[in-house]
Amino acid sequence: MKKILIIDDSPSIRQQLSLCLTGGGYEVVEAQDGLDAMDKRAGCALALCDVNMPRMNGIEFVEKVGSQPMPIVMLTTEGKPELIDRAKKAGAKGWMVKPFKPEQLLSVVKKLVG
Amino acid sequence: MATDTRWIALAQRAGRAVRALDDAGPGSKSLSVVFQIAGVVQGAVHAHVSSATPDQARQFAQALEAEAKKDGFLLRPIWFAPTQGPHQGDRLGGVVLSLEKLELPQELQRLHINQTIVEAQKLSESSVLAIGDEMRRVYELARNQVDGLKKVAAQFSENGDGQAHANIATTIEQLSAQMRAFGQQILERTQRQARDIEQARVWTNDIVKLGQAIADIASNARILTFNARLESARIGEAGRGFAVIAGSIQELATSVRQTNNAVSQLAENLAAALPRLGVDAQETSRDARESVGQLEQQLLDVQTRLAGVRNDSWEALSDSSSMAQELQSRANTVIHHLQFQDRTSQMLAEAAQQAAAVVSIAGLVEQQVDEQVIRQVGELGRKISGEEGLKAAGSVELF
Repeated sequence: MKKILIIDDSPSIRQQLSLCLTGGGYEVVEAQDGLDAMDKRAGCALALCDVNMPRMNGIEFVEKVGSQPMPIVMLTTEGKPELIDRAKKAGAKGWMVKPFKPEQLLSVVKKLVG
Repeated sequence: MATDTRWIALAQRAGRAVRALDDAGPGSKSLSVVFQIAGVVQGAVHAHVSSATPDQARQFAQALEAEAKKDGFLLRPIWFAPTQGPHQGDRLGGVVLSLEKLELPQELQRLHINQTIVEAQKLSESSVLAIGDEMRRVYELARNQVDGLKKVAAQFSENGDGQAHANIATTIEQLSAQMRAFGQQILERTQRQARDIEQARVWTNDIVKLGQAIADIASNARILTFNARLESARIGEAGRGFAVIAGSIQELATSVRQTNNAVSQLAENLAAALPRLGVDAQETSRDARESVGQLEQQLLDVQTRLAGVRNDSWEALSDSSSMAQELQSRANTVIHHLQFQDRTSQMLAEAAQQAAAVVSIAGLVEQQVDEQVIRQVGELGRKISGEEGLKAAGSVELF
């Protein structure tokens, strides 16, 4: 079962993503910010990462780890072009705006990790 | 309000009369014009009047009132008369000034605007978590249901002896018990949610009231401006610097007002969203409850028909299985709704940040106003007025 890393400071968003992904047949690992994710990313096939978070935000996380060894999709309410550009340059593989439908998320996840 | 020299001209006229007052001797008199906003005295202009008739003084006060109206003040000369005292007489002379210092209300701090919004945010967050938890249970139960029915189907196809039927009956009984317990839990949770949502409504009303307190501060800042301009006119050329500060306070007042509008808008959005969320939550629970009830009925049917015709039981099993899958699918759509509710929680977090900024800025008004503060307020206003547009919900861009 493929492991997906959810990085979001909102417990309810983590809960909903987890519900959606486990329903889609994926295993889930949760991290509450970029710093926490640094310790939990090993073995994950994909990371879904919020942008605005305490300690280490989503953009800083992508800039730190790049796109190796797993693709990272930003999952946020933000839509500022400069942020999208920064994430893209740092190696993020996608930008998805909340709120999303579970099937949209699963389709993106499937496209990236199968 | 654009920089307007009308007030300054008016006050300069008054200033000349103040200077004349020094020479007016024992015949000079005073006139007080009291500001009133919504019935609350906000400050007063003490007009020392000399070399004028009472009618002229009255006209002057009325002119002040008219000018104030143009700027949006409700300036009402609720009391003006020659000062009681040894110098009372026919001759009046002139002018305004010696304005009372106005204290900005400290209510904002007392009202704990921040704390209120943060509490509302926690409530919203906990509500999202509660519904999310419920949906997780629906998911798990529906999955369990499908698995259980598959097991029953397998037992059917393997053999139809008495022992198999007993096993099937036990399995179905267990599934039914789970359904009943869960149905009861959903009912209780629905009632708790209704209470939470009602509490959230109370919080929201508080936020709207607090928005009004911010508006009052903006009004007071505008009066300070008015005072400052009169003061600058009184001290003539030397007061030019003060007039600049007055202009800055004016800008600040405008920005605070804009900020307040944005905070109020957030509160209004929340007030509009909460009842809808409440209905959503209740409908979700009701749907789940009904689905669980129907599934339970299906299971009882299977149980009843076990001893009867085998094909009927197959049909009932198939119906139950597809209903369980539908339940899973329904739980999936709830996730989408929950994100909107989570967005409400985020809106509240933003409101809390902005309110904190407004409180700190309001505190600065009394002390000093500089360009940096004005810039900060401007940025704040732009940020929460939504100039930074959001992308469409659910939009996906893969790089």
